Amino acid sequence: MRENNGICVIGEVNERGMISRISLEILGLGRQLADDLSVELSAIFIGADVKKNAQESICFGSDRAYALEVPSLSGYNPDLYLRILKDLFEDFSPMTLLAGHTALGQDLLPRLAARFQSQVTMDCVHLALAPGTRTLLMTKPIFGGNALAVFSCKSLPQMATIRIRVGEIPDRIADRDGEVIMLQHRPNQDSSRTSAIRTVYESHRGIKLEDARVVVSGGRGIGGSEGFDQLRALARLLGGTIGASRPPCDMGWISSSSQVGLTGKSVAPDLYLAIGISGTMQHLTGISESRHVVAINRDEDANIFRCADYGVVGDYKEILPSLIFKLKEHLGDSI
Amino acid sequence: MHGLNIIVCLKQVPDTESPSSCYRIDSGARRVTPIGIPPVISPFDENALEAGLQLRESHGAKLTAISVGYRLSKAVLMKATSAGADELVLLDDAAFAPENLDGYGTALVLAEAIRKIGKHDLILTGRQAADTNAGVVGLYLSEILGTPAVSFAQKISLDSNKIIIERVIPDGYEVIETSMPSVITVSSEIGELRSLRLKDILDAKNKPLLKWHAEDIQLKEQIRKKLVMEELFEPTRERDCCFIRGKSPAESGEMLAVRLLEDGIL
Repeated sequence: MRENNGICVIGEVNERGMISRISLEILGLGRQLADDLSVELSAIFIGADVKKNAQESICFGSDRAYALEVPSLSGYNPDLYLRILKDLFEDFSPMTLLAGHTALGQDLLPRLAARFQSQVTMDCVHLALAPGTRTLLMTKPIFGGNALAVFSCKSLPQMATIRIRVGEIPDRIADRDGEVIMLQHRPNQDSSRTSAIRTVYESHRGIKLEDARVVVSGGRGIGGSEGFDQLRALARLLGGTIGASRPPCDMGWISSSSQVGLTGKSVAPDLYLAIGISGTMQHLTGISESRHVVAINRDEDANIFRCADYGVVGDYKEILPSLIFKLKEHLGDSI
Repeated sequence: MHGLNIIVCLKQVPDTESPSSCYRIDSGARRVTPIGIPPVISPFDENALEAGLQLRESHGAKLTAISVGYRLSKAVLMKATSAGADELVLLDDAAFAPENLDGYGTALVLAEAIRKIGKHDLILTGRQAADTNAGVVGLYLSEILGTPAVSFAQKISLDSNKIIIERVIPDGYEVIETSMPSVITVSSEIGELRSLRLKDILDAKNKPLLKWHAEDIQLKEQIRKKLVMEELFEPTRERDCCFIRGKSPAESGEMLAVRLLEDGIL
């Protein structure tokens, strides 16, 4: 066994073949924990072409990076990942295992936790060490965001999935020291009880919600799918993307892939515009990392105003045209 | 296909669609106490129940609803049988109260109850519960039972012995094929639970309702709570809202634009 007290990050790669933003943020968080405990930070990448990602992770803070290349692998496969990770963790067992609260992390970490007879805390918004100990304190929203709870886990490894923007992308240090270890893919890791037949991408032009600098979101108050066209125009003007609270998705006004909130996506833009959104806790929890929040709502007492930096009370249909007009006048074609 | 057995796992939670003022957050006791909020079936579990009912309609099946907790409300959980489930199993014991049971413990109890129920081809759960917001029990359960699992289903169909699932991913969905028995966690896209008909509510009173305690199931291992809540507090997320008030909505819109530009936000 190589070590039993390190921090390990399960890395993900984006569609451009680079380490995804959330994985970089978690490398930053992991580095900090590793420094505080004077232990090693390792990272693991699994995919068709991930040696370069493993190497790159060293520049972002890992001391050791494992890469396992499966040439035919086009996405996440739970059984394959579980077998690879189980084989790997026979050689070394980390004290703490971190991953993004992503489609992969949400599916993989509970399964992995069960295999280790440990547990995972999901969707953490803060990580810390209990003073003077190696115990990880994991903070996460519960009751739809109405409360925040801090959990510790009495078994090892301590495991957590982390929400986007909880960590910051660390500075890249080109000449940081570290070791890349290429793992052998064993054919017996292949047999899988589930198989992905195909992936269907819903026409999603433009920027992903999670990466957007500006998000223009609509709620029940938008009134129907046509109303979202006006929001789209504003989003386009600001170089942002469109989002929604839960009701418009439930009512089919907009695709549920646009849902922002605890049961949709967490976002962290520079500017979040909440239009016709009342502001339930489960929605607010998903936007809490936004830098600025603007609310437009007909109801002056709407909860959303308590969580907004700027508020306009009124009908969005009468407010948006002049907002868009004025912004166009000033911003012109600059964005 | 004949004699399919579907098990749907339901969690009783306080209605989390209620306003924040309905939750008393007791940091000392590390407990959230809902005030005046009736318990409900966790919304995603209702989606799972709906998925089970749809499969039963298209393929014929026995559908068993099961819930683990302490002081479970028969009235709340009988919604499952009223909506069409064939029987209801309530695992009710002080040992199953939230302070004694974490996600893995809940999965262990469910696993033993499911073994006791016997044959099962499909086990459905919601993608996550509305109180803990974790989304772990279904996947833990599949590991304990040694069955495949697929998370975040928006559609489930059956083709002889295969299960075909549309799994929601951030920018679309994957089509996944797996075998029976499997655990599937269900997302809201599958559709809301159907409305109840008076006749079915009356019929539900004649459907089997089994109440099991801790001693009625054979737990293979002693349940030790591993996940411990160390602290509980109220989120501080209030911002100081600067209201922009023009003489007309149109003027307010212009003023908002100017303000966002002046403050360097755009």
